[in-house]
Amino acid sequence: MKKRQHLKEQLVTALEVPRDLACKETIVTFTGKNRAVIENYRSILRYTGEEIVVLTYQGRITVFGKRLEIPWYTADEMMLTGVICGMNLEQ
Amino acid sequence: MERLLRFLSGYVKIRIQGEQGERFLNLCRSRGITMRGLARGEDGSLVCFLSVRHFFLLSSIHKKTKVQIHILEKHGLPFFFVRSKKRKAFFLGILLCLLLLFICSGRIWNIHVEGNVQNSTPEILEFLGQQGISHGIRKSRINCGEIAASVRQNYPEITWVSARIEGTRLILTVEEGIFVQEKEEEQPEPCSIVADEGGTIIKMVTRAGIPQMKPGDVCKEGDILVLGRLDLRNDSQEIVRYEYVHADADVYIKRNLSYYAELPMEYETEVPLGKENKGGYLKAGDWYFQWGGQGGDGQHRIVEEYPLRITENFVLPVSVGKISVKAYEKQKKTYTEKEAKAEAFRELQEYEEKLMEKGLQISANNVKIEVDHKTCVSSGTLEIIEKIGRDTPVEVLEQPAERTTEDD
Repeated sequence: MKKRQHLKEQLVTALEVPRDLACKETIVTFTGKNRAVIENYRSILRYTGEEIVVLTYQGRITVFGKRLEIPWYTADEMMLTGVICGMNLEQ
Repeated sequence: MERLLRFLSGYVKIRIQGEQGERFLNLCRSRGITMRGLARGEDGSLVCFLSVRHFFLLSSIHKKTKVQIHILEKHGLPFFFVRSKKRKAFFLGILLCLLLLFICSGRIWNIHVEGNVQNSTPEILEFLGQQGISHGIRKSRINCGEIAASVRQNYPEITWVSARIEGTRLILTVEEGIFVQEKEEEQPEPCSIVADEGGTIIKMVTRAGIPQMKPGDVCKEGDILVLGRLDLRNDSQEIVRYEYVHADADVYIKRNLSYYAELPMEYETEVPLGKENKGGYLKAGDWYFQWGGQGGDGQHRIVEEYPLRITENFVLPVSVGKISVKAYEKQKKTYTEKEAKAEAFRELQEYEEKLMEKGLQISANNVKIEVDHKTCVSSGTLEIIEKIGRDTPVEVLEQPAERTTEDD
């Protein structure tokens, strides 16, 4: 399994294919303190005004803040607004 | 654009309450139900906006997750129609408006003529009216080529016509040529020029005929100034033949014109009282309705009328008017000596201007203005220079007999 994973990574590197497309790696883009876009997520685990926990293909992402809202979300990406204080990545 | 589409399809604001809120969101996501403005309320409920189409897909998710869904607000066109079910007249009005717009847009509501100088716009419009082209005519009945041809045919001075339809406007662009009518060479009748006024000749320019007087001479009314008969003489200075011409000359004389004017010192004037009564009226064909603005003796009544027009040249037979009635009082006043002289001088100047409009020149002013107790008298003479001369038929004499050697 590890060997297969290693081979895939080598192929992706050799072909210069973006990793978010090839391995569904998550991209988190922050715009200032008030906006964040999470791409390639799997599901929402918890959503409160102070914390949003999102499950991704590589683990969990927790965004902390105040008055957190989700203006829109689709199957692949979601936008968060509010006062973002921090982010935590878990395997 | 997206907002407009959302408005057209309709959307609702819902509140989701329950333990499995996150599961609800994930199920929605997996089924392609998109939510907007998702926020967590203070009581722990989720509030979001959802399209009507997606709202009806929530039933199975609702059963699975056992959350409570409440509709908080309804927005968009479908809900507006439902709310406006009772307002039938409103929708009928919109429908009628659209129908009217559709009918009206198929007709000509403005006929615009440009480039015309010699032929006035109302004249051209009247001609078009005779051809059946008037305001309100259907566009399909208009043939621009025919219109242009008929205008060109009827107005020979118009050299180029273009007729085109722009929206509900018929635009006629014309270009007028400048035609100089060539005067036919007429054989003028032989005549002499006689003086129609007496005076001292100061200038004389003769183009045809033989002058009988010269500058400095004094002429009387009826004197021949230029003779229209030419006496052709031979070497012995004997008249051999008479030739007759149409005498042509500019003769200027100087003469005195007496002037007398009396101005009474007492005069009547209208003093406005400051009271103004305003009113108006509405006129539609023969029907007339007026409010206010009743005038009488001792009042000036000023009426301004404004015809209603839909477009530039489309005047409706309806007009509104503004009436203003100002009261005045007649008062008797007396001129002071200075005022009287100024008024008399003003009258004299007016008289001089009238003379100058007739082509007379004023070389000297010998008018004196004097004031007595009751009147201001302006009297004297004006020295004027004017052009005189009147055509009169020339007497035709018998041609002298040709001399032969036998006569000697």
